Formats: sequence, C-alpha cells, structure tokens
Amino acid sequence: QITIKIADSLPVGHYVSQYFTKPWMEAVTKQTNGKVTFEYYPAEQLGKAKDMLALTQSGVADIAYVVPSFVPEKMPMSPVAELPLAEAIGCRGAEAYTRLVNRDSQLRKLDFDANRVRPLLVQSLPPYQIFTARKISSLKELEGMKIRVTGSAKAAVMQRVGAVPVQIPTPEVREALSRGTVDGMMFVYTSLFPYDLHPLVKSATTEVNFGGWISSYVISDRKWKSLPAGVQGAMTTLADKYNREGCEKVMADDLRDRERLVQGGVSLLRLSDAEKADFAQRTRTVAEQWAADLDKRGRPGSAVLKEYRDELAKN
Amino acid sequence: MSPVLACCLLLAALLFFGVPVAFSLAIAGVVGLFMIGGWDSVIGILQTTTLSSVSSYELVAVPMFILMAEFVILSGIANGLFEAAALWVGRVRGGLAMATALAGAGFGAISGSSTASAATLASTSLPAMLRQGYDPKLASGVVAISGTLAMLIPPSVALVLFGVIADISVGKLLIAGVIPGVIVTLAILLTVYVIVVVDKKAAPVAAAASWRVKLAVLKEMGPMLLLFGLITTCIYTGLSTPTEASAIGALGALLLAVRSPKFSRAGFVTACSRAMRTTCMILMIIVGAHIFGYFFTLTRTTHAIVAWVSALPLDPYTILAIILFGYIVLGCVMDQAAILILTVPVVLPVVKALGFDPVWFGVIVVVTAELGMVTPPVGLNVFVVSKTTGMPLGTVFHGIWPHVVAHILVLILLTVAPGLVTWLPSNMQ
Amino acid sequence: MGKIIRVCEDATRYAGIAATLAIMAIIACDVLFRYAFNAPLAWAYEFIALYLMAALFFLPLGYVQRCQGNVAVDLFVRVLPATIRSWLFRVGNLLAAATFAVTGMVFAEKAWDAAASGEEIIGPYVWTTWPIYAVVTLGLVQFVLRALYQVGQSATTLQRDAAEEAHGE
Ligand code: NA
Ligand code: NA
Repeated sequence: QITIKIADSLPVGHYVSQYFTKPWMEAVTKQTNGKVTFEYYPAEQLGKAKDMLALTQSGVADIAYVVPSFVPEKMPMSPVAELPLAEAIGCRGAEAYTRLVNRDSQLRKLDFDANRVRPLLVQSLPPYQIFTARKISSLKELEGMKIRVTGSAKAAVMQRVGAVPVQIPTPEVREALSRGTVDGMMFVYTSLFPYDLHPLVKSATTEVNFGGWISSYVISDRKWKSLPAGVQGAMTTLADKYNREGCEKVMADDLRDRERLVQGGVSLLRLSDAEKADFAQRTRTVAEQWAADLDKRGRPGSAVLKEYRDELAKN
Repeated sequence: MSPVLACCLLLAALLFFGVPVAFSLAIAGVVGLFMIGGWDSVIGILQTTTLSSVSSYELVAVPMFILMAEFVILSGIANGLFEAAALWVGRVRGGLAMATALAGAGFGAISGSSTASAATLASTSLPAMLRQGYDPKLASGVVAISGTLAMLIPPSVALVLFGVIADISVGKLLIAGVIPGVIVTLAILLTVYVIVVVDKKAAPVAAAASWRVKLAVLKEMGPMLLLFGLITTCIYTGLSTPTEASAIGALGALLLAVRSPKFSRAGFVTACSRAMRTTCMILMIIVGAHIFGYFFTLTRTTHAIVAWVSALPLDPYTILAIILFGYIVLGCVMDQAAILILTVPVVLPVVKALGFDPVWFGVIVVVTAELGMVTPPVGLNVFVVSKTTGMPLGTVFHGIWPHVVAHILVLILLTVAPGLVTWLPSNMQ
Repeated sequence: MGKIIRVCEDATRYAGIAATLAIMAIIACDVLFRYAFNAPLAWAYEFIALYLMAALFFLPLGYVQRCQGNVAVDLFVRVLPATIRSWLFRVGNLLAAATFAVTGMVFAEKAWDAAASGEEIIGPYVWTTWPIYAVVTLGLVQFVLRALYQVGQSATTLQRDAAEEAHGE
C-alpha cells in the first residue's frame, strides 16, 4: 500500500485539477488496483506557489505543482516555453517541452535533475492575448497604453509594440482596469471569467502568441526511486495520456470562452498578414534577448533555446 | 493522544502561560510537524513558510498603513479635530461626547490604526469633557469606542489583513467599510443621546459658537482634508491601486509631519520604530499561524472541521451567529490581528460554504473585532485610554457597555440587511 | 555582551526602517512616473517583493523582542506571583529561541548554498538570492540572541528595556 502526498497552489475546482490532476490520480489508483492512493492538498494548503518545489525536495509533499517562472532561481530554463514564438501556438509548445523534459536534454538536466525532481504532468496555457478596456482596431493603438503583464519576457513584448508594461498583483487587476490605472492586460481567455474581468473588456486579440505559461507536477527523485517499476510505469503512461487530453481540453475551453466574450459584445482584433509580419519582426529579438541574458551569466540560454526550437520543428 | 489534540493542548497551555501568540503558534506547530512527519517536515515547512508568508508585494499595505498612522500622530494634524467637531456640534446636551465620535470617524478616515486613534482622542477630547463636568464613565467610554472607528472606516489595517489572508480584493473591502463605518458612528451618537436623556447629570449642554469661529476652525482642518483627499483620489480615480495608495498616504503624512513646527529627528525615529514594532508583531503572528496552519492541514483537521460544520443540521444564520459569538468571546481575551490571522483561513471556507459573501463577512468580522477592542478583560483601546489619562480600568469598562449593546445591534442590522455592506463595492466599477 | 547585542539591534532596526521608507518612496515614484511620464519603474515590484519586505520584517526582530513587542495573552499570568511569572517568561523565551534557532540555521544553510552555487534570478535585471537568505538569518540570529540574553536578565531590567520610550537617539 502506497500513499502519495500531492500538493498544489490552485484554487479548488481549477481546470488544471479537473483536466489533469484528478483524472490522473484516479486512473493511477485504478490501474494499480488501489495499491497507490493519493492525499491531495490543493489551494496552497501546504505552502505558497513559489514554495512547491522546495516542499517536494524536503519531503513534505511527494508530488507538487511547480511553476518555473515562480522559482526562476531554481528553474531558469523552462520559461523557454513561455517565449512569444509564433510556431509554439496551440498544444505544440507544450508537446515539445514535454518531450524535452522526458529525455536527456539540457533543459531537463538544469531544471529538473539539478533540483532532484522529475516531471510527470505538464500543463501549458493557450497563448496570452491582449485585452483592453477601450476598443482598439489595430495593434498600433497599443502604443503608449499601460498593459498589465507578469514576467520580464512578456514585459519585453509589450515594450516592442510600444506599450508600457505594468506589474500589479492579480487580486488588484480588476480594479486597476476598471479605474484606468492600467488600460489593458495580457491574459488568457479562460482566466477572464474566474476573475470577473470579462465585463470590463472591450477588445481582445486572437491567434497571436504574446507569450505563454508552462507548469508541471513534479515528483521528488527520492520518492520516485522508492516506487515499484509497475507503479512508475503506470504513472508515466497515464501522465502522457492526460497531458495530451488535458491540453486539448484547455484549447477547446479557450475557443469556447472567446466565443462567450464575442457574444458579450467584445470586438476581436484579428491581425492582418502585414500586421502579423510586423509583430514577428518587432518581437523576434525577445527570445534572443532572453537567451543572451542567461548566456551572459554563464547559463546555456542559447543552447536551450535552440534545443526547444529544434524540438518544435519536429512537430 | 492524537497529534492534533496534543498540539492544541500545548498551544492552549503556551497561550495561557503568557507566551506571545506568535511564538506559541510556532512552537506548537513545530512540535506537531515533528510528531507527524519527523525532522524533514519541520525543516521543510520552516525553510519555505518563514520567508514566503511575509515577503510578498500584496502585504505592502500593512506596513504602509501602520507607518501612515504613526506619521499622522507625529504631524499633529488630527489634534484640532476634536475642537472643530465640538464647535460644530454646538448647543446640544452631551455635545462634546458626540464631537468625540465625529472626531473618531474623521481620524479613522486618515488612519488605519484603532489604538492610535484612541490615544489621540484620549489626550485631546477626554480632558475637555472632564473639565466640563462630564461623568468620567460616559467620557472615557465614548473615547474608547470612537477609537475603534479607525479600523472600519478606510484606510484600515484590519481590512487589508483580512483581504490578504482571504485572497480577496483589498479595494472592495476598503470601500465596503464606508457605510458600516457611518452606521457605527451614528450608533455611537445615538447611544450618547440616549445616555444623556436618561441621565441629565451625565453631561452638560455644550456652548454655542459663532459662525465666524466655526469657519475659522475649518481652515485648520486643511492639512487633514488634504491627506484624506490624497488617499481617496489615489484609490478612486485609478491613479494607483489601493496597495500603492497606502505608500502614497504614508508619504503624504510624512510630508505633513515634516512641515509641522514640532517635528524633530528623534520624534521621527520614534514614530518609525513604533511602526516597525507593530508591523513585525503582526507579521510574526502571520509566520507562526502559517507554521501551525500547515501542521493542521497535514493532519487534515481543517478539512474535517469544514465538512463537519457544513453538514450540521442547523440553518446558516444559526451557524453564523455561533461563529460571531465565538469571535466576540475570542475578542475578549486575544489581540485582534492574531484572531484574524488565526481564524480566517479556517472560518472563511465554512462561511463561503454556507453561502455568505466573503466581502460582507470581512466587514462583519472587523465590526466584531471592534467590540473586542473594548470588552473586558483584554480591551486594547480601554488600556490605552486608561494609560493615557490615568483613569482606573474599571471606570472605562463601566462606561463602555451601552456602546457594546449598540454595537451588537449594528451587527444584527448588517446581518439582516447585508446590502448595507455589499451595495457600495458592487456598484463601484 | 549586552551592549554589543544592543548596538547590533539598533543598527539593523535602522536598516529595517530604511527598507520601510524605501518601499514608501519607491512606490510613490513608481506611481508618479507611471502616471506623469508613462514610464513605471520596471524593477520596483521585484525589488520590493524580494528584498525590501524581507529586510523590513526580519531586521528589526531583535529590537522588537527587546521591547517585548510581541503580543501575549497575559490575562491569566497577571494574577500569578512575580517569581512564577518570570520563570514562565524564561521558559517561553527558551522554546521560542530554540524554534527560531532551527529556522535561522536552515536559512544560514540556504544562504551558504545560494552563494556557493551563484544562485540568481536572471532577466533584464539580475537578482542575487543569497542576500535575501542572509537577511533572514541575521534577523533570526538577533532574535535568538536577545531571547536567550533575556533569560538571564532581572525583571527590572526587562521592564526598563521594554518601556524604553526614547527610541530615537
Ligand atoms: Na481608518
Ligand atoms: Na477584548
């Protein structure tokens, strides 16, 4: 009989736990004939989001939900999958990232092996879009607008299109947007509704990659080694299954919520081919800059970026 | 004996024997973690929680509002508040007591600290009332209760803390405190009115003032109105977020303090040091409560409590009444910040499961916390009033009970008509 | 010994005050620059969350303990005789010191590891992490020293330290 403690920082009922965590836990229990059971601690019950990696390392939890961009000092390479690369749209970015972390790559060595953890479930969000409080009809109008972002890569993208990136804690975004502290924000469709932001939005972009989000449930090496081969096999096979299915569901939800927004009167900003080319031109250097910053500090940023791009090309 | 029971007993014993709340929580939590998960769990929780529970941007408003309260005192801009209110209330029996309530509300609008407010009122309005022959019970009681208005009327450290712990919008909570703040002020005025009608000897009729004097005194209120206007503008025009407004408010109060003729370097350092003490005290309890809280979660106790309460065959309002009664009892013996930090993570899920609005509940909890500030045996505001004036504790507690009754009536009113709390935040776009 | 502890406490208390005032000033500038020039301070958010909040809370811990600024439920102990009360105070201090000594050791190790491996957050700005853990350690060590030192102090000295009104010098 094996009991596994699994922790995350997601609110109860979050789509990640609905599409990935819970079905995976149930399937593992079922496939091992009840030999493996889980104690689930959602909603920061064991620690803040940025504590999750340390909690698996110390053994407080066996498996935890880790967001690399919350622990950049421990997982500096994974944000490669959050860069605004046009070819990483849809589930392709997550698939390439998952393949990389499941084989002997630089990315895996630096972000997982070095932290004595291994990835199981991997989640990505649909590409981030720009949502504005007043109607805009071209990307040019973003110039000078204050846009709420998270993280330096997304801030760089906003600077490249002439907008002003602003950092504000998530609980204050709604008021900031409604009172004009910011003019818009970089967000994903599915997150608008839980934060009740949809009534404030007038325009939304679509089908552009302004940046991404990558996260994963990791298990500590120590716990992993203590598991019988059969259980390990069940966990990885089922993780593959739910990674694929989960991502498809997330993308479907994205389209559904975009539709909901349009029905609520929000105007969709689709870029013309010329605008797309212009955007690609402007943001081309964001990924290179990200890699160069790491290279400068003696980390193989460029090598990991190449690794990721090569993997994307295999799709 | 189960680890949960053992550690709860340990916690109770530590608290009982006067070990500071923050330490009691940390010690009991560490012992508990060791019992259920050994050394690894202890280290694992200590190395994450100690830092991450206090080093977040969201918490910035706590030290900033506390700093602002200290700078407001340092600047002395609120000292004339009572005098102005007294002139404007005019020829009414118990006029000075009513002016104290109004001054408390005014002070509350520029300061988030209840004890700071009580101390200021105690040194300005209480001597004036005693000179005019007020019953000391009436005079000190109204000062202690009027001080609590600062924690309900925005800016409020208590509401910010609730927002951070409950992970709900601080801005919404602050706005939600406005109408209840006005209601509590009216309740204090009404209570004073009833007291002086029943017992005419309790208070004399205040002197009337000419319009010229009334207007002249308003001018002195300038700096205060400026500061109030600054925070309000920042928050409600979108110039800044409420968190940022707390820093701007602190800076504004500092500038007013520097400008005051009595400003000194030593006074400035004292004000900053006092702010550090209050801030560290609150943050230390947050750390302790987190350590104990994670132990509690790992034993699945929180889970069990929420499930158990939600399944009780009682209607939501009965359960709510029991919870609020628990808060009032806790408020008798414990520090308000400690109560908030300790109970909200367990109680809020229950309250939400019962179908109550979390913003409304935040305001209700702060109104009960106000009661805790003035109820015996531990009532911080009563201590402050007694310490500032040298009046016996018994006299002040004696003068407080009509206000306690009025406060409970307000609580009932806010529960029966929750719209009084939720209307303003839901209509602020 | 007591003198050294006191001087260190006051030094870090002033550092904590400096961090608090810095938060105030940085946020005010950030808002001003964002509003007036559309140019917010891009580093402000991370700098405050990573370094200043930690400094503001941990650095004054020794001083706060000297002032006995941590609230307690003293309702029941107040009726006890003074000797028993002071023994309870000593036991409480020892337990708290033990708890936070363990925490301090954990953070000292974290600071050491972070410095040895050159741990940093890399982006447009590079944030080195060991100073954060070092600040936590420093604050906790001061707390532990003060709590232990208080065990040997007389009730009168303790009261005098706690009631110290002239916080500025
Ligand atoms: Na207030
Ligand atoms: Na009380």
